[in-house]
Amino acid sequence: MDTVSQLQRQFVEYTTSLYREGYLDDQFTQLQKLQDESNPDFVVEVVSLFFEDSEKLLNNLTTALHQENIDYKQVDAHVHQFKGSSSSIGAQRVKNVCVVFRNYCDEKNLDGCVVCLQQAKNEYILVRNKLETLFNLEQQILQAGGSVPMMV
Amino acid sequence: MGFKTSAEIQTRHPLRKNPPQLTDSNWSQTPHLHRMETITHESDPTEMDSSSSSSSLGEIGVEMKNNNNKVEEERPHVLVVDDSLVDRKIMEKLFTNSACKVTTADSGKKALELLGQGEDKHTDINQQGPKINLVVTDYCMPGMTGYDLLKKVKESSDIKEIPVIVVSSENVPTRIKKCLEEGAQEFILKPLKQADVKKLRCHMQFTKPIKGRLCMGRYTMKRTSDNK
Repeated sequence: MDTVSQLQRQFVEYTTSLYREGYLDDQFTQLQKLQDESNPDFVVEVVSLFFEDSEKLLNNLTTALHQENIDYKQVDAHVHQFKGSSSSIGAQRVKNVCVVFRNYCDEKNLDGCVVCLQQAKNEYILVRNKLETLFNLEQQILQAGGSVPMMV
Repeated sequence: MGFKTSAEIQTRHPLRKNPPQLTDSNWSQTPHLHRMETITHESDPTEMDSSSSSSSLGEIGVEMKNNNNKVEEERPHVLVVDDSLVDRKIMEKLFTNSACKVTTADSGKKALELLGQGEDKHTDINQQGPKINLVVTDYCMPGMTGYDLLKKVKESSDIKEIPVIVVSSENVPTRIKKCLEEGAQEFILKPLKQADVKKLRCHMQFTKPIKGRLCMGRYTMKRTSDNK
């Protein structure tokens, strides 16, 4: 059982660091609480939907900001969506970039928007990698015959 | 952060073996706690008796049992309307975890069709299947907003009695006021939590009204045979 304890400890430390560094917030914990035996992959499923959704939105944003005549309402609509979905899964840093991004949209500030888009992409990639690492750790624990600790 | 001081945690995967003890007090493991509030009191012999039933949590007087076809009909039917797939999925789970049946719609237009107000009467699940007891709609949606949907519901003689909850990621007092004035039962900020959903159950109407229905608190409630 040594491997399992080690993996569990790793998992705990990793999760704690994600919260401490602001990648995840309480909403992610809420999602985990929703998961149960009737749907043991719920969190992974929702997060996967978030990944798909995000990639579409980021592409749409890139296109929208490359137009000759930028439709800031449209840009704002995409950012609003991105802010919503990141907030719903607890991806705090992504959400925070979206808040700033929306302000730039209101001001029709192209430079600001371009910078925010890049930041949004960066934060998204970071949180995606971290969540994938987390899910990986979970799988390793399960495969080693252990159970995944969860914070309440 | 979202940590509580309680040392209890739930192990949430079906592959559970004897969990090792961790020394960090936030991470001790306890036997699996199932979601007690949505499943059932197991061995009450009077459960199957149609003339009386009791609910140990008694939130709404819906008999909370599992895998019983007879009682399946009693589950409140919620229509969740949101253009975001992520949010639809989360809300669906929030409500199914509270023993509700859930239908989702990605637009106000689709929602109206499902409520029997659209052009195509065949999609009216309100007529065909279990009636909808509650509508939960996002405010910001392209095309028909949640507010527009709310208005349409409240203007229709068929469905105006169905309670509508509006949810939004934005805390805009004028928006909230507008929705409440239009007849929304409640306005809740996203993202929703399980606690929000539990509170909503008292808004749900049932096809079979139950005497003595209360919203809050734990109690044992009897339903007598003259309630239809």
